[in-house]
Amino acid sequence: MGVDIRLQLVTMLPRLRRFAVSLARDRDLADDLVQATCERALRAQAGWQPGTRLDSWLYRIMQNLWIDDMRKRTSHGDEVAIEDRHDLVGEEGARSAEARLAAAEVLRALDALPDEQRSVVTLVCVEDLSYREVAKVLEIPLGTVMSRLSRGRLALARQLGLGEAGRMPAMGGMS
Amino acid sequence: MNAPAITDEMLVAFADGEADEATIDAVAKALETDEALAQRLDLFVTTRQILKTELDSVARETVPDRLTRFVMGGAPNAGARPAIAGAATPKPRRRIALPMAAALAGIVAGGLGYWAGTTSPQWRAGAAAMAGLAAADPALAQALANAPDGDRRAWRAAGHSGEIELRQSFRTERGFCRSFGVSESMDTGWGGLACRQGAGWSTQVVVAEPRMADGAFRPASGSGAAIDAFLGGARAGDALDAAAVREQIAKGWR
Repeated sequence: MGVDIRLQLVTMLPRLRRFAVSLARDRDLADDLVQATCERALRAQAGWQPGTRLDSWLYRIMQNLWIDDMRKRTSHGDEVAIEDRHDLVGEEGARSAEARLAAAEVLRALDALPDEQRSVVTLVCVEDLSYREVAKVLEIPLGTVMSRLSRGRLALARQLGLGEAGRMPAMGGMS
Repeated sequence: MNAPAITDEMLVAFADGEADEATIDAVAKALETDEALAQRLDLFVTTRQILKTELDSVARETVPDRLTRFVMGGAPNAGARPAIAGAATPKPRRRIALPMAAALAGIVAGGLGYWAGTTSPQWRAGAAAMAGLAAADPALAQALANAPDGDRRAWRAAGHSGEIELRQSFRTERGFCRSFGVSESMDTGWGGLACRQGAGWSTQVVVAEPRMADGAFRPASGSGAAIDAFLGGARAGDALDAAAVREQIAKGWR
């Protein structure tokens, strides 16, 4: 009999939402994705080995759900006004409007990345997974993690108008 | 001319602290003379900082109740009589006297009142399960029995870890009760109140406590209204002082 992961799942909901928002952008869709992830995790909790990282396992479930299924629900290119979706968060939404705009801008830049780069970039930069953990979650080689990560971050820097990113060619490395 | 040996993959690994010794040496050496390389490194460092900062705001938002309910819903009822707030909000809330709240320990969260008598059976089952799980946690049970107020204990269960902080202890007409916080290492924790019941402890109140921007978990006031309501109804006295807590630890809270 495996352990009951519900308490830990609840504790992890904020982080799951964060990753979901980076994938889906739209808050409603992100929360649907979180719920679907939890549903699958609860059904398959025997598949998670105690002692291994629960978060990595959940990110993998979420990533697969997103790629295989839920991504189709969004018509890419639709501008989803994430600033408008804060009815869900109640008073929290009254936090700094400025902060939300900044977050929205970063999310837009992130959204401009190809899916495979976005997942790598988010898992490393936001979820603080190691390269090895990301390789496991996404089931890709370590070298691919590094090349997607570097290309994704340079593209992001260009999107955000940072430094000389726009003028810099890629340097060496794997394709 | 850029040092041809330094690739973007090497540089990003260097920025993220993932590079091996040889790469660290090569990049560090190249950086001494290559200004363009330093600027490129700065892009890798800066993008991570920006992403982390901006997306962290999502993790600090209140989790929609429907998600918490979904995860906890349908769980076997642990038999406790707990109350739970779906999530605390950062807005300072009024401390309302809830004279009848004692027995039911109704919780006010986000301006919505969740009363055990009026919420859905599913919600109550979820709350019961949450409290049951919390009380069943051996690390929490041990900390409740042995740790003085203010003590922080490592918490480890099923591959996850965090900290349990004992906050205050009270003598009530239902026996001794102790407030505590349980954090996982990252973003969210739970605050609650457990009371001595039989030979063990039963969690009576559980409230989500999101981590604040400064990294601290919400102080006890986040779960304060719920805990106050419960303690008020249980006719709790003032919080015990350190000596009294030590004495009760020695006597097993009987």
